[in-house]
Formats: sequence, C-alpha cells, structure tokens
Amino acid sequence: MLAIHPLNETSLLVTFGDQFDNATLDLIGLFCHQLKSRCPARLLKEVLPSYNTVMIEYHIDRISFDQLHQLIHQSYLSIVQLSPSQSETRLVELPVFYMGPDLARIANHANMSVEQVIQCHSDTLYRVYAIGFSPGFPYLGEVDPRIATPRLTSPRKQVAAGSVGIADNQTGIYPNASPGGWNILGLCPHALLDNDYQCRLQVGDQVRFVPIAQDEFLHLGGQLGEEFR
Amino acid sequence: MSISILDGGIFSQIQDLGRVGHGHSGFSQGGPMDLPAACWANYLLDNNNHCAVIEITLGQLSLQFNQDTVIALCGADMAPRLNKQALVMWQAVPVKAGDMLSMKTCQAGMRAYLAIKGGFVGQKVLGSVASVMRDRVGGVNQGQPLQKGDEIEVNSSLKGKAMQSYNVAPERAYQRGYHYTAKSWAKLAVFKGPQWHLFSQADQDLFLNQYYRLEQSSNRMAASFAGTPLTSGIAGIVSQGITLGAIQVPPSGLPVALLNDRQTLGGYAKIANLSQGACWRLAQLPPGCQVQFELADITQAQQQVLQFQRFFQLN
Repeated sequence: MLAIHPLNETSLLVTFGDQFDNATLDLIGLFCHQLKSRCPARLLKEVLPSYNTVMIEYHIDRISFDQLHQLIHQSYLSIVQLSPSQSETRLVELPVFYMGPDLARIANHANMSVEQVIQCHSDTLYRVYAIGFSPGFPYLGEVDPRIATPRLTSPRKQVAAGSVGIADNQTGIYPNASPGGWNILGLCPHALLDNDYQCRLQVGDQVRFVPIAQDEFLHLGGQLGEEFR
Repeated sequence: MSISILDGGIFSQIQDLGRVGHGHSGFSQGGPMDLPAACWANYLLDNNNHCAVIEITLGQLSLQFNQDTVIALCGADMAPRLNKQALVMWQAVPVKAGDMLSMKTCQAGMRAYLAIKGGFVGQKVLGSVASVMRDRVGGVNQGQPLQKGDEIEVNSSLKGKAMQSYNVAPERAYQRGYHYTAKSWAKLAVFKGPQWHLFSQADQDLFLNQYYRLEQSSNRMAASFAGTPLTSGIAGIVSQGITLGAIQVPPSGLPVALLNDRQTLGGYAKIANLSQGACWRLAQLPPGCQVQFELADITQAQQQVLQFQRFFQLN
C-alpha cells in the first residue's frame, strides 16, 4: 500500500508498504517513471528512491501538495495493474579484481575458502537498493547469507576508490577514497561517476560482479594503491 | 575581474542556490544555510538569485578587490571594515580596485553573506558551484573552504557601460525583520516526521516540551542537540531519502537536525522535520543556545515559503 507523508513545506515521502523486496523495487522503478512522465521535470526538484520509499522535493510555486498528491496516486494506480515482467531492468556488469584486505576475514567468518567467497560474491545477481552515503555509492543486495559479514568494529581511515565491500547482507562500491567500515573484497577498475559526475548506476538496476585478474584490472585502467601492493 | 583572499577566516565557502536534482546519485544540495540573507545580498545588487556568494561562518575573512565593483554584505554582524572604515551591511556598497574588506569574529549570529555584482565564479559541478566539502565539489578547490592565496574570478555579466551607470539606490537598503541578536534561546517550528508515531507519547511530549542545548559540534551537515534523551529506543529503519531539516533520533535518544550538506539517505527514525524558516534561523544560532521545538501548521508554513520565493523570484 502507498502512503504519502509531507516532510516539510516542499518535500514529501512516498512509502510502498512495510516490506522491502525486489517486487517493491520494481514497483518503485515503474512509479518513478510514471510520475516523471505525468509531471514535467520543471515541477520536481528531487526524486530520490531508496529501498521502499521515494522522497520527492517539489517546486511549491508550480505545483501544490494536493496536485502532486493526486499525480502520485494516479501514477501508482497506473502501475499496480502492470505485471512485474513489464518492468525493464538494466543489467550492469562490473569487473572486480578480488584481492581485498578483508577476503580472509570474510572467508574465516563464512568458514569457506577465499576462492569460494569470490565465487559466492560474483555468482549472485544483485539489485541497486539505494544510492547515497557519498556521491555514487550503490547499496546492493542481497548478499548470500553465508558471506554476509558485519562491518569492521573500527572503520578504516581511508578506503581506496573502487573498493568493493560487504556490510551484513549488502554489498557496495566506494566511488571515491573515503573512510569506511565495509569488508573489502577487491577493486573495480570502472569509475562509478563519469567525468561529468553522472552516476553509472541507478536504483533498481541489476548488477553482476565479474572476477578479473590483475592484468585485466590494470588494462581497464585500474590502479593499485600502496595498500594493495 | 577577481578578488584575492588574504585570509580565509574560520570557515568561508562559495555557495549558490545548491546542487539541486542529483540527490538520487548521492549528491548533497549544499547552498546557503541562511538562505534569506544570501538572497538579500544578491537582491541588493540586482544580481540574479543564482549568482554565487561567499558564506562566511564565524568571521575573520579578509580579501582584496582587484577591480572597481559593487558589493553587499548581509547576515551576521562581524564588524566588517572596508579599508579602515566600518562597512555598512544590508546595502549595496561601491568598492575600488585595491580596497580591502576584512572582518572580525561574529558577535551575534553565525553566518554572513558577501555578494558581488555579477557573482563569483567557481568550479561548476552538475550545474552548481555550491561548495560541499564532504562531496569534494564546488567552490574554487573541490568544496574545500577558502584559504589565503585563493583568487576568485567574478562574472563580468555586467557590461562596462552598465557598471558605470549603476547607482547604489539607498532606498533599497534593507533592515531585516529579525536581528541577529546574541539571544540565548529560540523556538524552532517543526512538522511531525514520518516516524513520529513510532515514538511513545512520553517521548513526543519530552521532545516538544524540553529545552535542548545546541551543541558545539553543529556544522553545515547537521545540528546536534543535548538534553534529556528520548527512550523509545527505535532501532534503525530502512534508509530513506532525507530532506532539509529532518530530525533523526539515533540510539543515543538525542535529536540531530540534518542541514544543507546532509547525506542524502538516513537510517534513523525521524521524529520531526524543521520548517525551512527554522533551518534558516538555526543557521544563525550560536552553540550553547537553548532551543525548543514547536509543532507548526504545514499549510501556513507553505504560504510563508511561497511569499518568500515570490519576493525574491526564486524558482
């Protein structure tokens, strides 16, 4: 069920039920698409999907809360009749050079070999649940429960750009070097933000990690910082 | 046309109306913490609202103008001086090449806004030069605060002729309705947050009835408040998009208000959300200030925002 909660004078939160699953994610993708097709871009400031919600900031001088409320309901009604197969989900493949500092820790936690951890992480087809924390950082799920590993007890002061990590049942990629507490499995040579700061991924996308060797990683433009040599 | 920073002061940054529309990629909006003060500074110069200004937090900025131009300084009083003379705030002031603007530490209020005819030039990222330190974008040095030696270009959108004929209209000088007094308490308008109902009645009452103390650690990302902790003990929620002024209650039970440089997602229960007016007011409150949250009517607050936007032709 759909609930709309005004947050402040110019923003509201749309919540799609209490449960969060891939069907909700599909629904949200379709909803954002419908809303944008019914509502000219100049009326909306932000459309921010995340898990089971969409936060919307709007131009109050161009559309009132009541008008937007109505458009949201219309958009929702138009998509609930669609079957899930009508949602178009992009598949993005991201190469990963699995050599991160926490592979042994995860393997230990999972009682597996490092090779099994890598296979387990790269066999799963993930969905982008949310993008945030820092520009371009994707929250992907769901990680195979066997390799779900809690965050480090004390975060690292610096995690290299491109680091692929696990925190509990989610996996993600640090687009830029930053402090962080995720368990690092390896490095992705692709930038998640392009030169124009546009984000390569969007909420709802499917992501698969493809293991690559060091040669290919370097060939694709990846760089090994001191911490990885 | 440029200015030279002689001393970046405690924390000064270039800001425009913000990096709007990229929250879905994880970019904070940034933008002036006291939006009306920034708008007034541009308004007094007949600048477009989107012209970038310098947000001066706490003061001690000093800079030199490298060409004749017109400026306006609004917001907190930091005893500004143009060369040796006191500079009149809330008014367009002509300056000459070589003039030096300097200021002390703010005595009342926290933030001042310096606008210049044409606006400052910064590194444009996703359509905005707003400095967001955590995102490393905007300003003249990837979102970092201004420092000694920085040269900031100024848009020369104003033709030479127009510049000569530009007159400072004294009637446009403006006295603000509220003053940046050193008052030690404030009431801040809030609306019920999306998780308001998850808090016990006792916690809801405690939230609205106690005086919180604004913490020293408050900054452009968030304002923290000290007081009697709420005890509902709500575990994290599924992360949601965060709007300006969201008040999260982490496990400590003490509220944190998320401001312009906030992260775009948050996983703590939001008991309330500050009104935009309350965010602007909060931007000028000093640490240690006593703060009370007061439930407000959102329809009425929307009318006030509309009035504000119409006056400054913001869109």
